[in-house]
Amino acid sequence: MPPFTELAARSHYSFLEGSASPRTLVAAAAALGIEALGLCDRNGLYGAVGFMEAARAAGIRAIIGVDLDLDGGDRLHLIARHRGGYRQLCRAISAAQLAGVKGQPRLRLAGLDPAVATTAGVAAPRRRRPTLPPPERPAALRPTAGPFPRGWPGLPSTTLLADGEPATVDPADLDGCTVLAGGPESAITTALVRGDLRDATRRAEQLRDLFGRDRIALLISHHRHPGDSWLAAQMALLARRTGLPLAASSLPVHANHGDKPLLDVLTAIRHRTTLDNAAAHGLLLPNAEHRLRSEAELRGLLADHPEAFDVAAHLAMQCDVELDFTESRFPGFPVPPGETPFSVLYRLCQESVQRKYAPVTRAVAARLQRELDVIEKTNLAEFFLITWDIMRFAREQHIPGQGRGSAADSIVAYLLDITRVDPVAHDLLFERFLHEDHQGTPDIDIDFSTDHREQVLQYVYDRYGAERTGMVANVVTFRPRMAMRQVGAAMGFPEPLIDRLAKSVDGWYMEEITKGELRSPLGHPPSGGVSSGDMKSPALTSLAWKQFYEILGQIEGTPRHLGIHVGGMLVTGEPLVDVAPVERATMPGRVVVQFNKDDVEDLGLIKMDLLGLRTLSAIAECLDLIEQSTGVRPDLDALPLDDPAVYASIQKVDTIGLFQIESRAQQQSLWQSQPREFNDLIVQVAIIRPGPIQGDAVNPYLRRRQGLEPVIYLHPSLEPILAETMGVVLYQEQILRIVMEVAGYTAGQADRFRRAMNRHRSRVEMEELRDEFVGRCNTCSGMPVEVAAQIFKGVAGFAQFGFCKSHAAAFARTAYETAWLRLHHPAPYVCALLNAQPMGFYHPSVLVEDAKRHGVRFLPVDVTRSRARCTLENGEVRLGFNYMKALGPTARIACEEAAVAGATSLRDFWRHTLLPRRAMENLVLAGAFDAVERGRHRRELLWELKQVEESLPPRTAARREAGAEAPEATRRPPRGRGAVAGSRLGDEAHAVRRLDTDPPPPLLEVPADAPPLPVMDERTRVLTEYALSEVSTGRHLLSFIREQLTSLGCRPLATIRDLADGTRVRVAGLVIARQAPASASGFRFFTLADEDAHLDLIFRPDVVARTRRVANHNPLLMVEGRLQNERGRVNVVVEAVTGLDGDGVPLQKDESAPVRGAPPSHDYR
Amino acid sequence: MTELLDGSVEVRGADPATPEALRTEAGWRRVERIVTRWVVDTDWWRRPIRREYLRCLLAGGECCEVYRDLDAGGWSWSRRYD
Repeated sequence: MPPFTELAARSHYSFLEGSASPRTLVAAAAALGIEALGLCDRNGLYGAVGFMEAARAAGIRAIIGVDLDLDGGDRLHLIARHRGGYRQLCRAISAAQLAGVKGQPRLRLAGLDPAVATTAGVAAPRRRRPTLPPPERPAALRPTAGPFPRGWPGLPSTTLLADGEPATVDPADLDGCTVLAGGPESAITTALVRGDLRDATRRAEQLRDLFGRDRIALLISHHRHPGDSWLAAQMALLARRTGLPLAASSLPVHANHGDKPLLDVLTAIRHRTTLDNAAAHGLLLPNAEHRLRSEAELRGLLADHPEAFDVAAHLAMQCDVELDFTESRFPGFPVPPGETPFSVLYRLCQESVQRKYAPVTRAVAARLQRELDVIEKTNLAEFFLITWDIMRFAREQHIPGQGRGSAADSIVAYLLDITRVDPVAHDLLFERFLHEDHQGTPDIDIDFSTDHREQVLQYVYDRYGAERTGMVANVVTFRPRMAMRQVGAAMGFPEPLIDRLAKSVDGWYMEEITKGELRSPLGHPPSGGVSSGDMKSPALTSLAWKQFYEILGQIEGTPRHLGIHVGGMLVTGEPLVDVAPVERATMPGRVVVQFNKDDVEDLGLIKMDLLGLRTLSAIAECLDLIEQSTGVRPDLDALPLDDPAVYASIQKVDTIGLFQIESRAQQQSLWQSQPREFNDLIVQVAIIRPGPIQGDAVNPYLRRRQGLEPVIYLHPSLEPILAETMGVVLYQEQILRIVMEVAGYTAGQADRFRRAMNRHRSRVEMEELRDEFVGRCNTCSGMPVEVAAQIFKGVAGFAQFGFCKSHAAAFARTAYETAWLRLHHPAPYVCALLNAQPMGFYHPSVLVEDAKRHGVRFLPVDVTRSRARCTLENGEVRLGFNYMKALGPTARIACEEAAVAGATSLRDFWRHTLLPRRAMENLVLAGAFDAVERGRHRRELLWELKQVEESLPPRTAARREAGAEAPEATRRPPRGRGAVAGSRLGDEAHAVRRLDTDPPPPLLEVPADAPPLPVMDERTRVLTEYALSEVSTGRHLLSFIREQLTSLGCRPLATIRDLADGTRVRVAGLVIARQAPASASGFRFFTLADEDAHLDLIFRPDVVARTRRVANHNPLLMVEGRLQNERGRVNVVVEAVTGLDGDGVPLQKDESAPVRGAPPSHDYR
Repeated sequence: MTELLDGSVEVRGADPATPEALRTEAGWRRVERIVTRWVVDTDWWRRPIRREYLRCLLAGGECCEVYRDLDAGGWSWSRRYD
């Protein structure tokens, strides 16, 4: 019997046009007895690698294909017969994708007239997306527009498809592929459906002549639609007329009958409409029969065409594609004559080890030799040299960069200056990074200064050629919050309800979101409350609620759209388009491959993560500032990691602005862990992570660290592995050591754990390892099964989000360096931090207030002294134009130039900059002209501004408001060092008209005396500065209402620490952070700030429910509660919350009011 | 032209999915041939519809469509062709 075959299944990698994952399809196929399965997704091979792996595991023959759009509205299925055919598929898809725009590839087959695809003899009209006017519908059934982009009603827009010529592919260049013609929406099927057998015949004959009779078949299918039997008969007739074979297929777009609702929801989301609307427009499939079928079922539907099954099986047997690129994975790294990549690597390491480890110890020599042996066996010397070369370039260009992640486990990476942490000194496990059975290439992640990362990427492009270099894809999948918004919108839920639901969930996985959170609002309002008005929608029935929840459970992990991995670069030995299809990236000239990072790793290709880290930008600028002001540039590489003063400051939890250890949770644990040395910092970086939290490791570690409980081990065999972390698992390396040393796996076998820890699907993959692990622990270590199961539970819980120690060590070093810089050079450090925003845990105003407490003085924006970025001025920080609202990057540069040119008056400055009126007003109000207009107060200057503006000729005034009619004269901000920092302060007025050659026309000066205007008092000035800069160089906002707060009985936060544990307190402050971590079981955490201190608040779940509205919407809160004082580390457990207005006056219950000038809090979920 | 019909219809036959006769206003009529049959499975989010439709050629030459509710199991009229 020929194998039963399904040639053309579609997975969810068709992006909202299929609902099953490749893994699900394979499982369903195996259950149905399908022996060969073809994956043909729309215009891409996004799921090919995972599909092949799943099929191999299930013993199913995998066929790689594509459902390709052709210009003129035609479509064609192509399947690859061999590796050459696969290459041709990649090239054809790439050509189509690059010729079109995102989601709209354009391809033409040479010799195939697109007009044939439509109507005989009539040229095809220019293709538009279908336009369907929505029918009149009851208002209640109209969907909400909330979660969708603009353009509601959202049904297919009338936007024209990409202009220009489509790519043309010669059918001869697809001779390694088999064509499956006559699929859905193909020109042949369309012609048959409209009864034009002659056109269908001509089309089929044309394809037959182009591809050859032995490389094409006609698809015949049946989905239990009214005309399907007739269509199948017509297809059979066409086959007879053209002499082409028929190939049977179910053409599935979902795996099982029960997947249809998910597919419908995806369809509605794709069309940005509701299910009701989608159904009204005929966009949904009419039944659930577009699924995988068993042979018996399909034969029953196509009983008149038994030969089509043999043909399908025959075509399947012709396909044999293996994706093995190991022979050509390296792009070729040039080495001197007579040398090999390994000999060069060996020499570089030997030279470096003498410098870094003088004298070289036996342990170091042995470690180096062991790593070099593994690198030689795995043939990865070239990979290391490529990475070394990138780092060499970065160093030469003075670009800060350092390896992170498991690369720091390697002494070779350390010696090549890829990483900055000594793996021998910190006992880092090389096998976490690489071992001799390693398939593929190891992960090397490198952080570069965000401002300079692009330079490094460009170097890689230049070095290896654009044809061999591309960015790795990141498939964006539905996560709970996004799923709630989009599924809810598709189901017609009211927008306010969707918004509340989405905001009420904190989990990363749907299963983490308790049913309690999603209980029907009809009976159990979700947390946050649902008003009765929310529930008036007829869409919100109990059935809909049940379905909503079911769809949410199914949609998780379904691809939503294709993105670009944040830093993953793929460099290939053969042209990229022979390895994977590519698409356009947003940046001109850049391409993204259709494989994600896991696919690339599975294929053994060379991928490097070149990431941007703003902290490195800040450090680099800080060093520049120190050098400018002192003449000495600190050498951070030579910085000893044992400065007692640094650890003292960390022990005092004085860590605002420090890398990795500044958050509320970090500060809480720092107070308990009291780091005394660098290894303690490594723990600190690793411990506040979802992994240790979910693995129940945090509290045991902290209690043991404080001597509050004994260090115990679940089994004696764990002691050597877990001793450094007091018996708890904190590092991925420890998991691997448990797997190898306790369960007896080899490094290669343990690789499955490493992979499971690295992948998004880690829970699934990890669970598959449970039984084997437990059994082997029992066998190898004599460990009781229950204990082994308990260990596995901890390991699996940790694995999802746990850090590797090497990564923590790399980050800990940066954390130490930031602590050292902040301690010894506070002004340059905070100046650099302000310029590197947005970054970190806190709003810039918090950084400024903290720096003031450490003696740093700040100077306001001044049109004669400020620059585009914040600067140091005699040891004080001068705010730059980047801290002024309504000034975009170009405007800031213009302001800097005017300041350098020495503008002597408001008029002079305006003539230089030609800023929009609003920007000038902001500068005036912020006091930026106080220095040049001495003796004149700000309101008077504002009046003058108005006078000048009103006196301008109308045309000039209009141009000034528009500000951007001369793009060729608009200056671009510089890149790299000296570039203007991105600002969260808005960029709405960045477009500034500049005349570079001629001086600007003089303004028409009309003398006008300002009427008597009140002078701004200090409080007004501070409020204005907050409003315009979101920071204050003067007093803190609360200092102006301290008297009022005192009259309310509120204590200053700085005095709380002296009170006894359990004291009932009343305090007030600005909310600077709100947190609702998923792991906190409904608890929420706020941080309050006043003029002298911060205070952490703890909200119990019942208090959260009671105070949510007031606490969430008021920037200024008065709080009552019980003090927790544990050896000076204080929290307040909140009992009552009252909102205060800007004058400190209590608001009514549930009332909220904005506080002018209050900086926004940073809210985290 | 067709006339849309509603209401249930009695059927007879050994196979519950394939009627051999329908009861019309004029009495029982034999199903000469089932011209085609199809499945509709939609509107699951509001009022789920799961039906199998049959286009039947009745003895005497009349053509009609009936459907079977795949959940409830009963047969209903859909339309009659003039």
